[in-house]
Amino acid sequence: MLWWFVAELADTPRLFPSPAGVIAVWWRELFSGALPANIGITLARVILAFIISMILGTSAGYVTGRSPRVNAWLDPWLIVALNLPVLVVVVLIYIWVGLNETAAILSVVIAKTPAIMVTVREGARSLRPDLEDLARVYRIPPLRRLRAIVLPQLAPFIVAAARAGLSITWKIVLIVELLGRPNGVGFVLNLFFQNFDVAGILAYGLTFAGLMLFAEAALLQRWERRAFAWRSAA
Amino acid sequence: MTCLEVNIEEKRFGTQTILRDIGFAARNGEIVALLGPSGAGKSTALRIVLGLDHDYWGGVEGLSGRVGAVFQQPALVPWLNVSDNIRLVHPEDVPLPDIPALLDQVGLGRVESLFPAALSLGMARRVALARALSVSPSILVLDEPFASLHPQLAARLGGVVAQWARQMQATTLIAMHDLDHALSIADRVLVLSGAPSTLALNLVVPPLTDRTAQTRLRNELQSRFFFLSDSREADEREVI
Repeated sequence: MLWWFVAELADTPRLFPSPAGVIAVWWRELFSGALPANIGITLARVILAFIISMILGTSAGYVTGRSPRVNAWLDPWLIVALNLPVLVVVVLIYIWVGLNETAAILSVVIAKTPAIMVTVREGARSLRPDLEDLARVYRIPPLRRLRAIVLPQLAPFIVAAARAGLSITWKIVLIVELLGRPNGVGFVLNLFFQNFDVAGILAYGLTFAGLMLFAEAALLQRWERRAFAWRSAA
Repeated sequence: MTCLEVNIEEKRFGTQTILRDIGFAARNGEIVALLGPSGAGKSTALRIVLGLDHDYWGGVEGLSGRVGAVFQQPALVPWLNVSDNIRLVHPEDVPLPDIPALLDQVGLGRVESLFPAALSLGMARRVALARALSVSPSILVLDEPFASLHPQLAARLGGVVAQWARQMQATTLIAMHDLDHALSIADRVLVLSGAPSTLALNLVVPPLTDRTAQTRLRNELQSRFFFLSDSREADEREVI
């Protein structure tokens, strides 16, 4: 409502479009196929980068949380990685690897993994020692130990990392696309930016944010509820 | 025949020596009670026997085969129900025991599908005991398994443990604080005493049928070790 009112007041549809204007652009882009195609490409990049960085970050976080020696060796690098601006990573990887898909995914993974690692490392440090004793005395096989004892304890940390991770990953993907990909939402936003097409920017930006919100609510929260079902069952 | 041989020359926490010169052996199927005041290092000694603590001078031999243990904390996995907790430790080469019957033996009714949060500490300890028995252990190490239980129930569970141990020829080491209870189930008593704790006594318990010998041993132990003098009162004090 406020948006509508301000837009009417400003009366500059180019710089401050009304909701109707944005919907019109959205409709046009949707039927031309450009919006689904670009969002699909961006979504694929987000999912791929998200999965890779979750796997890397979780396993590296677990190892550093369990082994003080590995941690002592990796920790300084981790602090550097955490404080490195995303833009620096993206630009450097594009220069070193080239303007290709591998570089795009790689730079998102490098930018995202350290934060996941730090969260999961906290989880690995807080594993219950009595359950570890239990596993050792009864010689529970490693796989069963991982599935039944370790992962359920890490689950809250993995979920927290995933939720924070997904929202940051898609923002990084847009930057990566803006800087060096010929397609995807980030690339399109850049085009709109050069034409000062605010309606286009809003149409794409809001659609994508909506999709990510849906992914968060529908998938991650459902998984979270399932993973912690035992708490209410008790 | 010797089955378990324990020799703890010295165990320190930081600069403080906790245990010194604790050496004993247990035969196959022997039930050994470990007595001592609170803080004497009984749990520390048991952790060393279980191979959970390697930071000491000395050695433990004969820790082979399946091991069943009850720790000071029940250590039940909170996201698994009671029967899944028992299944979790189950080795593949042993047939799965009848879990309801096993729980019945430790005095628990229909609790298989309950989660640990729904159990009292006493119940959780008994589940831990059932879990230890479920693996058909050849070595059984129990750290105060009867604490926070009613004395009558404690006596009954002591009987269950003794019966299982004899039936399966399991070498059993139990840390406890009730002297009468120890004399009624153990083949041998060890007493830890002093600071640092040393093995003050290592005695074979006369059979329960030999009343005079039992009474004589009981009186002798109580006069030598103040912490064994009034076990009833001590028992109540430890109820959580």
